[in-house]
Order: sequence, then C-alpha cells, then structure tokens
Amino acid sequence: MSRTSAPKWMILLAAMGAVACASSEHFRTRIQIPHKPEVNLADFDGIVLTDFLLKSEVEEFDLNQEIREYFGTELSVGLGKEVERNSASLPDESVFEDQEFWKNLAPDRKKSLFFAGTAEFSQETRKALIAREKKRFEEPFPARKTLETRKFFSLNMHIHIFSSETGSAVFEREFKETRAYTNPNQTAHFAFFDLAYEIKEKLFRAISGGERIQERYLIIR
Amino acid sequence: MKKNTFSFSIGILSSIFLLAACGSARPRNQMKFGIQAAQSDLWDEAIFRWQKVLKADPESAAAHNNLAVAYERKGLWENAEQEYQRALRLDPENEYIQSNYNKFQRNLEATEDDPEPEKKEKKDVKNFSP
Repeated sequence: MSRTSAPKWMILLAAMGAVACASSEHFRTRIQIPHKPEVNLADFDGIVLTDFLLKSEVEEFDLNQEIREYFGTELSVGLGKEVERNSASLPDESVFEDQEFWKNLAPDRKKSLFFAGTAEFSQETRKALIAREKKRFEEPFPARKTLETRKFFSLNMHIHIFSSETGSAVFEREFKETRAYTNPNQTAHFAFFDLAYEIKEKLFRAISGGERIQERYLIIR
Repeated sequence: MKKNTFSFSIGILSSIFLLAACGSARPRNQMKFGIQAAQSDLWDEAIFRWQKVLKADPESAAAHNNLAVAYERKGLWENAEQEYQRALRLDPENEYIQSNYNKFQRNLEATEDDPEPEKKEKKDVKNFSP
C-alpha cells in the first residue's frame, strides 16, 4: 500500500461507517401479546344466567335450555366462577336498557354478573354451481362446474352482561356464526354445538383478555 | 518495516473511526443483550437492559420502542403507551415504531377479533351466499 492511497482508504472507511451507522437495524419478532380484558372479572364472585330472548323457536331442540347448559358449564370452568340460574323471564328487549330491573333481579347477590341476551338459530339448504379446484398436472381443459348442496346453520347471539350491584351493562356484543356442512343430514343439534363453541371462544377472549401472537419490531438503533 | 507500520496505523485509525462513528459500544451491547433476553422470553431482563440504555442515552428512540414492546408483552398498557409516544416524539418517521404503535392502538381499541385465516367452512359460506 502506498502513502498516496491512504486518503482513498479513509474515504472508503468513512463511507462504510456512515452506511453502517445510518441504517436502522431491527429484529422482527412474534410475541404473545395479552389482550386487555373488557370485564374485570376479579370484581365479581359469580355469574347468574337468565333465559335468553328467542327471536324464533327451534323445532329440533330447546334453544334456551341448550344455551343455559352449554354456557353455564363453560362459564363455570373457563372463568372459574360460580354459575347459578335465574328463572325470571325477560319481558322484551327494552329490559336491556333498564338498570333498575337488573339491580333488583337478585338483591342478595351483590357481586355477581347477569349473563343475558337475545338468540336466534336458523338453518337453510343452499345450492350453487361450484368449480372444482384444479390440481397441478391435471388436464388442460377448464374445470367443470358442478351443482353442489350445503346445509347452512347460523347462531346469532347478542350477549349482555350486567353488574348486579349497579344494574349497569359491563359488556355488550353481538356474535354471529354461520357454518356450512356438506352432509345433507347434518343435525341442527350437532351444528348448534359447533357454532356455540365459536361464539364461546370469541366471548372469552373479549371478556377475560387472553393472549394472541402478534408481530413487533425490536430496534437496535 | 515502514509499510507495516503504516498499515498498522491505518488499522488502528479505522477502528477508532468506526467506534466513534457508531457512538459508544456499551449501550449498543446492552441493547443487543436486551433483544436476546426478549427472544428468550426473559422480558424483565430485557427491560432492565433497555432501561440501562436509556440512562446512558435518554434520547434513544429504539430503547423507548423496545421498552414499549416489553411493557405491552407484560400487559402494562399505560407504560407501553408512554414509551411508544416518547419513541415517536424522538423519531417520528421511523416506520418500525409506527407499525408497532399502530398495532398496539388497534389492540386497545379492538372490539372484534383479527380476521381469521379462511377455513374451508368460511369459504363455503362465501361460495354459497345468495
């Protein structure tokens, strides 16, 4: 190396240094982020289940009884709270705006949550022309469309949760789940449990928080 | 001999130059150590390291961002919000901090779940919708 080449080296080093220091170094990482719970469950001792207001009756099974049994067990196990049933029947949807009603529904239970709402279960059969998905190396002709049938079930639950102490709503959300079955003999009772499970998962994530995996950037400089 | 001495001095000079250009190596090491701790799910250790970085350099947007992520991971939402805002005040154009803060805010405001990956049943619902 000659002495005359020294400034060139210095320039090169300066450029390298500038590039190295100017660029932002970061790590993309996937972490479990807790979700802020919408209901502070620690403030309450138990849950009181009331009948749901049904928008239409279901022929195959007693929808209210199934909701009570399914959510009663799930709320007790999943949230670790004592669950009790209240047999009072709700007059109409205006009751969800009536704080006094909820305050006086079970005066002996001061630190409880009332689990109530409206529910609707429906089913229908739909037909459609569906193109079969083409696989690789299959014949080059366009995929043929075939007439297919699916049995659809929907469960719509508008859930309201009230504080027994104040009568005010601490949570309110509408959940609608629809599922299609290829089996034309799919029973409504069986489909109800699939749909109730989906709603329960979403409800629990909302009220008790839970965690979900998300991406974040950690930066070195 | 003269040539060797010259190369040696160039080497020393370049090291000093790079160190000076990138600032002190110690906070940078603390920052990296914090990231390693975070990647091993040792978030308290990571917080400790990034707080040390901030003692040495309170204007480090990166350290404020990383601390915010750590607080978010621990469910300390108020602290996370403060740190994200400090990070953005110091480096408002940083797309990584912006991305983290947007996701953080979406989580706080979320009333519905993230869109789920399309399952077969969901696809069927779409194909057969009237």
